[in-house]
Amino acid sequence: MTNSPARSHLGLTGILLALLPLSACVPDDISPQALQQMRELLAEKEARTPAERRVASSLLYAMKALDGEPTLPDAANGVDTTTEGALVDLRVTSTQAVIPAIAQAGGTVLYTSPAGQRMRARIPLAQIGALAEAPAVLSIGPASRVRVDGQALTSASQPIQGSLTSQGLVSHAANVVQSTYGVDGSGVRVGVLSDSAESTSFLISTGDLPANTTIVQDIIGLPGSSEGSAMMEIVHDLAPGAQLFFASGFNGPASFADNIRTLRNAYACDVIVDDTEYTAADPPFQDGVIAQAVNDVTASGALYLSAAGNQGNLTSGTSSVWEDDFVSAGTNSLLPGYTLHSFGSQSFNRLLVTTGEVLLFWSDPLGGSSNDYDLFVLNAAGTAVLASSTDIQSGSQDPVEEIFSGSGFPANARIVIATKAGAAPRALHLEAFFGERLQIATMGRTRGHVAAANTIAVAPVFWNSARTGTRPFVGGPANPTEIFSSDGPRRIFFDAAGTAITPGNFLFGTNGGAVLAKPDLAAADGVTTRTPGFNPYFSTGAAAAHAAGIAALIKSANPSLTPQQIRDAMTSTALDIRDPGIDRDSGYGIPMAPAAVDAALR
Amino acid sequence: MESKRVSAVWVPILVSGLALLAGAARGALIFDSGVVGFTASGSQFGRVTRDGLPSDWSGPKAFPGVTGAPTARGYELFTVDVGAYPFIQIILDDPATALFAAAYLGAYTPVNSPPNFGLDLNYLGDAGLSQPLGNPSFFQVAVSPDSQLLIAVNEVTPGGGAGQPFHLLVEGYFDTAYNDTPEPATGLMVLSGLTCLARAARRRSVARQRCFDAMRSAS
Repeated sequence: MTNSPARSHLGLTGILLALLPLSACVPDDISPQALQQMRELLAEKEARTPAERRVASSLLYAMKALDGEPTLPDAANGVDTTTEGALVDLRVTSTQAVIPAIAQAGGTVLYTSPAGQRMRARIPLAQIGALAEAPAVLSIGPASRVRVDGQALTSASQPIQGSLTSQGLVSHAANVVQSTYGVDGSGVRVGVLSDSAESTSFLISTGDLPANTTIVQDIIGLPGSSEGSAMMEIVHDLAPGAQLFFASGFNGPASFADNIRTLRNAYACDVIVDDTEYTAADPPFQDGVIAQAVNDVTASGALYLSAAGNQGNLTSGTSSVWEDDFVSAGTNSLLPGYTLHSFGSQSFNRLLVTTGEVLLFWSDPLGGSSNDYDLFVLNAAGTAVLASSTDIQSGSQDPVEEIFSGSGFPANARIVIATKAGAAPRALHLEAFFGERLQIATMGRTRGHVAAANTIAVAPVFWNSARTGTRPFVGGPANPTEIFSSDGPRRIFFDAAGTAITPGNFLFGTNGGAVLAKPDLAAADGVTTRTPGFNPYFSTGAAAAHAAGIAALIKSANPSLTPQQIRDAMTSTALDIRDPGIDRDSGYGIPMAPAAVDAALR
Repeated sequence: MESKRVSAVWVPILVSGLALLAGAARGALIFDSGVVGFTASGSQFGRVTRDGLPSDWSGPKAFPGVTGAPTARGYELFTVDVGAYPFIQIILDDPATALFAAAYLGAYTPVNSPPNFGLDLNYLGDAGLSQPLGNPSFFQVAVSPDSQLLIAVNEVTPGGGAGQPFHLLVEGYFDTAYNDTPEPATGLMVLSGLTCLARAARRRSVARQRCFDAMRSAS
């Protein structure tokens, strides 16, 4: 075992430990006090009623806190609660059947997806237990959190007069395609999904967006950053003839999925791009509700691109993920019926900086997990539990646990994974959702619809990474990806329907499942845009928008191309960067507009 | 003989025009310091506040204020003639994040007197940020062609810049879409202007020849 502050506590509690029957392999880096707390939390879990088992533990803890019952310090932190109730996502058998139950509970339905059998609502905390009794309710959880992959460094913008242009126009030599080939994206429809696009009218007035830009649906009930406007600006700079459409990805995962389909089915978008990632709704090992929408629109002829993510990578030492198989750290009589996971030399991982949300996924099918894993965050010394997620997986639940803290878990807090006796070892994906670094980290951060087989995931490269000014990218070591870019690859274990790709083999160590080389491409970021707060605009969202602009030029040059042919034109001609060939940081490399259009015209 | 003289008039004009276009086409880089070590050439009192807002070509940036005054900081001054370019982009690569650049028009005159210690006089713009995410900082200013820019690279902390390596690039463009050659319309205007000049020169040449011929006839 490594040195840990907890070991000093062993001396103080030596008498206690001497009295306890020790098993063969005892994790000694979690204090008896913390183990006792975990035991009490797990005992509460085992005592839940059938209805309570359909409610996420974070909601149950918040309900207990509301009732004045003793609970953990961060118990009520994980739920977005207003005077109108807690914001929740429901999985149901029938939305129509649940709508009256929500009304009866005094709640408000915010979104329904009858086809997806999902709902978003605000429900008074005290009524969630009663709502869970409704036969049509399969699960109630806190609203899946969402993040755009923007990294605006500024908070405002100066007075505006004229239009601005992304340096990426030159970086990708899209200006050459415009002037030499006369190709400008005309005839192509590009759909953009992000948080919001409030700046669109303003940008139309300055000439930074075309007058026919269409807002299909903007963010509901919340202020956004208008990153969607910034992404549209970039697409317009590269493909000024393309018609632009925007829909928010921030109104819940079901709404996001529906908006993807709407952009294709109702607005005939040829190219769709987003920079949005959800928590539980974007699982790593199987296509979730959003990735399934991507599958639908790509099958019907759209090209889909997404921001790879700004959550760090192993190459740059910024990784916020750990992926590997479950390994038992042994049992402990203080935690009967459960086994802790070993991270090698210790039974915990550490958050290296203050962290808002921790997620754990494992390789069970969605809606069909029967291997019960739990997640705990302990203080730095390992002497107290700060928060836990103890949802029950008994055959029909999702394989995910998530813990959120509004104030953030402190740097050096410990993350502990436990499994219930009888749970099979599975491949695990542990991450700090907002990109905070982990002490024990691996590659493989990009996940969900971003890393789905039918998505082109795009990593960022600073437009002036070669430090030669506004020049076309040259590839090679002169143009590395940004240090914050999320890396791949992505291993998946199930197809979209939940069928195992390698039945009986659900582990990394035995080469289970299939590996997707992600991200796919890399493109410019750190560019100038006119959208307030996005000058400069650093992020994989900016990169994805540049790649979408190039895709629009290709489609405009040869409208008969299929999405796969457009993808091939971009990947087969890309400038190789990072490791030779396809690599986990940049995929095929940087697409250059002239070569890609040339390939499309051959 | 007349045609020969006309050709003689055309050649330098066309060569000048092509040189103008070719020169522009070689690139928009109008100044490159190379990687150099910071050497103060003067002192300023305080420094421009980093307000997070890079100046850009959408309009003038309001002077963001002064911080750290009146403590003296060294600055190194670079003079750049922008030539025909009205849209200027300034890039500072400062790996140690020890320096900051601001652009001024015509003169840079720091003084030791509040409120702005002369840092606001002739101010054009700055990057608002230092080396964002490890990348070079950059900003844009718009000026009249043939302007003279003064780019002051100053220490962020007093004495903290000495010897620190940095690289200053200045680029010029004809428009906000990074065209380093005139737009087709602008090019046509240039060519038509050159044509007019050539015709005028030709008319003068023809008139001069007629005058010479008349004088010869008269003599």
